[in-house]
Amino acid sequence: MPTIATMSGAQFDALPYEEGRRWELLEGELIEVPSPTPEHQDIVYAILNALKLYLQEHRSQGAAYADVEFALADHVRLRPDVCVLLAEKARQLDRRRIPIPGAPDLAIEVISPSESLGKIQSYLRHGAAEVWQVYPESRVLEIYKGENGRST
Amino acid sequence: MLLDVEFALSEDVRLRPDVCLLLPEKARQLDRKRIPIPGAPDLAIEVISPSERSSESYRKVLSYLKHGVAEVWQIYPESLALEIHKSETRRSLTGDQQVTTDLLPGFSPPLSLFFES
Repeated sequence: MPTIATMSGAQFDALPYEEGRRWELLEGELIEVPSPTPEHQDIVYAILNALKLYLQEHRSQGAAYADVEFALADHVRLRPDVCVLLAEKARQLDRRRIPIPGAPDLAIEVISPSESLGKIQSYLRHGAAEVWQVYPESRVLEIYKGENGRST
Repeated sequence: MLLDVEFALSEDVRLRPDVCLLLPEKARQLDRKRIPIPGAPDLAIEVISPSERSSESYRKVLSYLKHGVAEVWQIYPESLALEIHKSETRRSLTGDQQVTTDLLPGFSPPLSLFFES
């Protein structure tokens, strides 16, 4: 459901990689993702570490990654700070190919106040079971479940 | 049911849903001569215009839910779609609360673990 459609997924995929410039495509809207701070990266690492430890201990087939791009829909390319693919999606994963088609089971974003909240909605709309939003300044974690109904 | 009436959801939040619904209890307490209406409607409906950024419209959804609206409906006229957002699908953790999820049974680190550097 693009509101301001500025770009298609195919156009986005054809963008040249620019060092230090990070973009995502949110419902057809090209958005710039700020370069991460050390604090941001510490949090991402701590979360990824906890998740990987859990997956290992539970001998789970699931997988957790940082900063991998998903093609959630034709006009959506998002790169969650951390993502979890549960057993079924992890099994189907082609580990050499990006963007990963579809939605992760869990998307985690560590955000600064300037960043877009629209991403949460986009993840849930396109099939993520949960989105975690981490607010470093207030040390709050907000969990959104994808049970919101949508009909067309 | 009211059209385009302003609510004071909190000290610093004033929103005017395109359509809102007050259930009997709130409707009874309504002072029909006064705006903004203090508190939150039970249901807020927003018709999304093509020029609206998805980040902005969702910011409003979150604000409604945070301040007690039970359901927010977003209507997208162009794609003939309706999105329903409910407050119970959102959970907020602080301090040392355990981070748990149905997705990962047994996963329960304290939230503070994420902020240790």
